[in-house]
Amino acid sequence: MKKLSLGMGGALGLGLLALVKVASAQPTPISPAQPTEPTAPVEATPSPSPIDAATPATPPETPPSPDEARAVPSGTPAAATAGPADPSRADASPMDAAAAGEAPAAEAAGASAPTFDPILLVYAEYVFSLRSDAADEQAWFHEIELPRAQAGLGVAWEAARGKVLLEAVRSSSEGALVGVAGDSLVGRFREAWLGADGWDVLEVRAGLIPTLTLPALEESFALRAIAPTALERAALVSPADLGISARARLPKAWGWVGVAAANGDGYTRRELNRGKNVEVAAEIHPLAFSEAAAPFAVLASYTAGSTGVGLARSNRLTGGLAWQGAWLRAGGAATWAEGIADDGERQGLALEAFVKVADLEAIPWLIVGADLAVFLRDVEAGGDRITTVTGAVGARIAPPLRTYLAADAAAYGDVAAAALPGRDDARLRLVGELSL
Amino acid sequence: MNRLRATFASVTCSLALVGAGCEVADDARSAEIASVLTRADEPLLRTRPRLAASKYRAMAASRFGFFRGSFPLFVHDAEGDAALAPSAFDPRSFPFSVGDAHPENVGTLLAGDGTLAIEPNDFDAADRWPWLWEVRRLATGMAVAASESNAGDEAARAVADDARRAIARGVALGYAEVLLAKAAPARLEEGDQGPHFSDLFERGREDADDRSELAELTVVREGARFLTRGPVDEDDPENVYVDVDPLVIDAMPATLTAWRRSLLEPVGESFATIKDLARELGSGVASRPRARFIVLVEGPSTAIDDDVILEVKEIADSGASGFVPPGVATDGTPAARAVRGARLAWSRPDAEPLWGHATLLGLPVQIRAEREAHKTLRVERMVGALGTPEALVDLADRLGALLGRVHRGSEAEWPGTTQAIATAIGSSEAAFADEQAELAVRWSNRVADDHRVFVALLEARGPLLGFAPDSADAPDAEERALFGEGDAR
Repeated sequence: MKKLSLGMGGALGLGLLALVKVASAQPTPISPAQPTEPTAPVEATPSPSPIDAATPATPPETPPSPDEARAVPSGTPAAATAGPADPSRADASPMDAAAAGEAPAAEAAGASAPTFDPILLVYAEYVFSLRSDAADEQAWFHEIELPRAQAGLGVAWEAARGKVLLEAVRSSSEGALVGVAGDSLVGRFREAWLGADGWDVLEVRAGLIPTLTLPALEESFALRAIAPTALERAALVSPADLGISARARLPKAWGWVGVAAANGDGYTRRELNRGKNVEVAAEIHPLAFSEAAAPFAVLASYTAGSTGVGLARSNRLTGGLAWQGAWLRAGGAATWAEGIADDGERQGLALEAFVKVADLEAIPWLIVGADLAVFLRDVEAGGDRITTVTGAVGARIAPPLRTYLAADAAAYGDVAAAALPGRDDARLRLVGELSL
Repeated sequence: MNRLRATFASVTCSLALVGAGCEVADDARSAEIASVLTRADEPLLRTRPRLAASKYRAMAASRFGFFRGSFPLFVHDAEGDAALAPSAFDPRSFPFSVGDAHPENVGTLLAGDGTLAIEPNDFDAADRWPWLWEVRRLATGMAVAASESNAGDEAARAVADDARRAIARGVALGYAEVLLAKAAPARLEEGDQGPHFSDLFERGREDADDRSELAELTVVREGARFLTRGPVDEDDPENVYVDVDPLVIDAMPATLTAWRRSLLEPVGESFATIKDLARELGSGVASRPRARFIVLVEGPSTAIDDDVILEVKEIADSGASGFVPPGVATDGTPAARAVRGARLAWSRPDAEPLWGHATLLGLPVQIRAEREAHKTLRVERMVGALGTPEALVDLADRLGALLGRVHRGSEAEWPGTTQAIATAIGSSEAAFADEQAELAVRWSNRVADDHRVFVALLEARGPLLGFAPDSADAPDAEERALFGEGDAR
């Protein structure tokens, strides 16, 4: 089973990627493996399901664009371990190559070699925000923000996998005036894990790993640049944590199931208690037998956990339906939360509906998206509710570069309005996204 | 709903049994208190656990001590507790204020012209806060104080406790009156200022005239004055002056030089001439683990009778989460923020002319005069004539008015602040007072319950509430010199 996929990937078409390829006569990137990133805004193949991505029938005649190279939802096993849709590309996993019945070039040459995949993701935006005070006097503010800047490197060598992903963050903590060198943007680890893939089915990760639920939801929407998921807005889960995860790819295009155990206090904090969070999750494509209906996905997950020194309960039950089509992505999700913000008895509900249209045949550069998020911060308290609507229209300027004009509006129930006085009523944003 | 919860619980338990599953606390509020407080104190718990433990002991010692030390829990509940958050009065105005508004953060200050005035005297948490939260914090603080007043006289305490609603209502009414008035009230100077403020003035004036701090905190040996060592507060055996690490002695002159530049009115170089230096331990509640030094300096002349004592105190972040863009209200250090807050809050910027800021070995510090003339309201003095409901209502009304004046102080820098609050209160002063009074009583009941839980937590989980320090976080020699951790009792 010592097989290493060294096929030429679509991402090889990018000169930038070629610059960083090392240590192999045929160095090609593995998947970017950014499970928390919306790296599949444009679909190259009719079916973006993980299995289809791993075992397509026919390689494309021309190398896919960087967008296309990420046609596979990165939160899926195929993306996290094998990567893009085309098994002839370098970033397909050994299992993918085996499934395709290929003999990797390196093995054919009698030697194996690692493949490396550089990762670069930047969101930059101009934000104009409006808010009113108790006298209904309007005030405005504007600033240029860097909501996300990530850079990293993934490596695959035979069955071994590894990845480090750095992200930019303000060096001061919330409410702090002074951080590192003023309040500089500094780098910190978002992911840093080692792992192995096996039997064309299983992937195991350990270290600072992405959690299972949030990346899967983000990938369904695939427009993180304009809006975080309702789950992330409500801070109900952390996108990464220190832990161990295992995921199994189901046969054909049926999806995946996974389980993870993590510290539970998120990737920005140390472990503070003896309890560990356990997360089970699955993304199932129940109509995978039909090529036309394969993009339909059912997401489900459950996390049992605790936070803080006090071991405050923090359980999450999430369910969602999504259409992960080539030009249309739409769906909804609901998360029931038991234990919020260290209050183990508080129960909340996060609801979300989203739609994204992109890569239309008639207007291939156009991207349109909308998201509705409702967070009931306490289901037993009437009026403890935040509703956020985001709409965006964007354009693909170049394969790795997109820009969006987005608008957000928020409405607060009376309890939430009293509890969260420092809030914007509306925002207008000009967003740029670079994704390699 | 219950069925869903039961299903949730059974699934959770199944997972817990299957593998590495989670472990959760049985008592949700107990877990919440432990998690919120230790999260807020995490840097202290990691780097100076013995000092952090001294804070928790002080919080356990009394209900009001717990209230003083649990400001992060107050903010947490204000943001997240649906039973405490609702209000008919729009909170969206953010004056630069004290943040942690409670009666023991108010007292006399001696101005440069020798006059005394009642002013806020603690700005550790000063920042731009929602106005309504501060009113509620102060009203709740007065209700908690009433419950702990009249120590040793249970009957009088019960009477005061029964009057909590009227007392808290006094805070709101005093506040509303000032916000709805056309002009800000005058400086609170010596005169007829009600029983509590008059008591402060009386004691403060006496000590101001004879410079009592020199007699109480220093000794004269062979014609030279030195700070005393050992206990300095007979009511608190943990409050002591101890020797200072040479590293701090070497660094202090540069700190005082920087401090002189931060003052509104310049003082002579002799104010930076150090005669003695001590580390103070066991002072305050919330700031108890913070580095605090007492410095004896030359003062105006080389005579020993006009020596000046300064307090150099570490200032940390306010805890405000950036309610107003751009999210921070000052561009200096946390100590610069505190000093800015003081000058905005006071009736005149030089209410205490030596109140400035600097850094000490990189640590932001606030520096102020340590004077016996500076008397602070104390719950322990709410006894006898000062513990009657009438006296407490009068104090509440005056404190509410003082907070209103502080909030009006932001008008110059953020026009519209006063108008927004006045619009929120509108013509509903009585309804506003009723709402705050009712909430303050409920919140003070919560504080009482939380204090009992906190004491039980300390007994059950140890002096750090179950937090486990990591030896890898142990401070290096320089940090130890600053913190004085080795001397913590």
